[in-house]
Amino acid sequence: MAEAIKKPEELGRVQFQPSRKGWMDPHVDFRRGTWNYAAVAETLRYLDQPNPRKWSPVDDDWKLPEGWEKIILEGLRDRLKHYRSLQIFIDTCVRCGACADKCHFFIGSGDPKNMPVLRAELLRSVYRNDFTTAGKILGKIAGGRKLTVDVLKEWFYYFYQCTECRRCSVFCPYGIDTAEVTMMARELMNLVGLSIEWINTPLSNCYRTGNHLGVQPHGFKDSIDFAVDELEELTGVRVDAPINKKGTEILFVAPSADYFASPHYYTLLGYLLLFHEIGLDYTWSTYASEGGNFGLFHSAEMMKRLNSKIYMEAKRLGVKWILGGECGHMWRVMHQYMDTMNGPADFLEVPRSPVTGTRFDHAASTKMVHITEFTADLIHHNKLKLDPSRNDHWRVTFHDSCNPARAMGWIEEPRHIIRAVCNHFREMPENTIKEQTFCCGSGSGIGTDENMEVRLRGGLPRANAVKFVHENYGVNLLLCICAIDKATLPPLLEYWVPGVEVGGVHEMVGNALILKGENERATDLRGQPYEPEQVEAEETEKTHA
Amino acid sequence: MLERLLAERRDVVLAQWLDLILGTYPADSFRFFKKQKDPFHNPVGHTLRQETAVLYDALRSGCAPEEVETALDGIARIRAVQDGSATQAVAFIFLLKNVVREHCAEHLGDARMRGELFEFESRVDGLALSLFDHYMKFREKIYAIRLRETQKRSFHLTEKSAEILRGRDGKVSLAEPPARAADA
Repeated sequence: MAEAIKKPEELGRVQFQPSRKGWMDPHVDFRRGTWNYAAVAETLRYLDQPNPRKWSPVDDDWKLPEGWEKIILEGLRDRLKHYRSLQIFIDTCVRCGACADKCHFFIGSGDPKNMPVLRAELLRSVYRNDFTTAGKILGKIAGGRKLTVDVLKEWFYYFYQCTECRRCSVFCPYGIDTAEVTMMARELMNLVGLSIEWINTPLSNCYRTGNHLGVQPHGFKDSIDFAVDELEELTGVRVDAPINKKGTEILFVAPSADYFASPHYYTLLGYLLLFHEIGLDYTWSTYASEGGNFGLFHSAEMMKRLNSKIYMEAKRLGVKWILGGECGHMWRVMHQYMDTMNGPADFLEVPRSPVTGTRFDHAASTKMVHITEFTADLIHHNKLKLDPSRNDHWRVTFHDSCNPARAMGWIEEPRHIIRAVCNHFREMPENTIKEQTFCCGSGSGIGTDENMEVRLRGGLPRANAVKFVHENYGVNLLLCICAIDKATLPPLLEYWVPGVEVGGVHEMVGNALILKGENERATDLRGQPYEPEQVEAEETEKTHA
Repeated sequence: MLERLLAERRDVVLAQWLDLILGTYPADSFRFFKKQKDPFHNPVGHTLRQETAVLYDALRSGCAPEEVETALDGIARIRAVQDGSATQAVAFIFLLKNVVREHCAEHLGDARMRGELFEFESRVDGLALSLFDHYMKFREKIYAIRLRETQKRSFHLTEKSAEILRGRDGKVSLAEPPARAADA
């Protein structure tokens, strides 16, 4: 859509004040850089989704199906019946404003509709209008809004400016989970074919090949084989990385980015070294070759479809339990939904570390353990020989990824590992980490390049805290345990804090791990040469926060 | 004469200027940006408060160019990713003129004050132009990052799925795509 060209006399007039329109006005300016490309028709067809067609958010006509209002309102009615949580979240909010200034998108943009309370109100107002007596009679006066095309466009704009990070929920006195409101709004939009390419394409890929990137079994094997070769060059040790091996104790499932993207790849190298060193009896799977699940960002049904492969593959391979890689949203799915969706996994055993004997009772039902829990337990029992000075070229800080921190409560496990494998670790300010962590600004399927401005403004609070430790303590590496973070934090830091790189916790483990029979390491896992003589004695003193 | 007045009324002028700047955001955001003093909770308000003070001091009495550059960078980096046109992103600098004129109003009969005020306002104009350069630098940076993201994605796909990057020794290089001058 062409942008209007101003006349000379208009150029001199600068509007300093924002327009005075109220929040009920749904008009949205789809400015370039602030929205995601629409899902292509082919992927909608592939996933049996309604209304496949070619359209763009900047088109006037979104080619909605006949009777779309009814489809959405019926969809809302169904969901209100099905999910008590939605009904409660919609009814209990008293608009106290505790969440208002907690969203990274609001903090970065200053757009009031990025306040979680107001974003939820975009959906709640339609609910009021059509589902409450007061709203049916009083309409606007009771805070009700009729569902119009403009309201729908506004939903599309703002519910794809929520990363479902749940920081707002931490501060809500009623515990309202605004992420679930966003999930429901996205489900409703999917009913009329309003989805985004960056979610739907990975979904259809995953449904076809088992991973978001569409990597086929031979490609998967190539990637793992390549990593094994590279590790031999780096360490002199040839590790074993079994694929689709039946009868092993453990099935290992990692996000696909680990074997296909950078800097994730170095984390993969770390896993492989660790498993080799402790002699883990495990296997990769070319079918369950994706731990992540973009279905979480689409709909409960899609999430369940994609997730089903994990237990199916565990059963087919005859393993005892499942270990998972460094991922964020994957763990909200595994811990909070998988058991209900595709369980019970009664053919598996309660996970028990073969090295330490620790039984992971918190995973007694899901039978799935996160690798940072597993490794933290190894370190706690002193089962690994580590040389943290191999990470002395890094001054690290840790970004708590939203889902591991807020949905799982993994606050100490990654820190326990980092303290054991790095000599220079500094925390960011307390109100930006742990359960109050700020999102990368690109989660929940909106980490696209066309959406870069929104990502950069949403990532400002996170980057701002990184900047603080970079400037004050020379931090040059931001560690995290989430594949989306590893993909989206590098451009964020390139913009806000040049000079800070991004890495995974198990990359640091891989660097520090002393392998039996290894050559002296000339480089770290990134291939960067070690220059230990440059590390001054006083700097090697531990600087734990 | 003007310099002394601007020094004496520094805090008042700065507060008024900041109010006008924050007034360019919607009312709810204005309250948050103004009241929340924690720099990690409110990086936009904090940066604007801190850097406008640097710019003000530079305008009234001059300071090291690096300090001004850093202050302009801090503000432009934020304005470049927020909604609004380029004009709106830089125009807030001119709001300072309105504030300072009000404070000088009673002395404008004095020719010396008028002369100093004209000179001050010219410096404000220059600063606005300079801010525009910084704003453009970050807009270009956003596009350079977008471009790099696309390159990176296709690089990894090409690298991993095809034989074309395999050297004669059969090894595949895992080097990053080359950085472009525009990214620097």
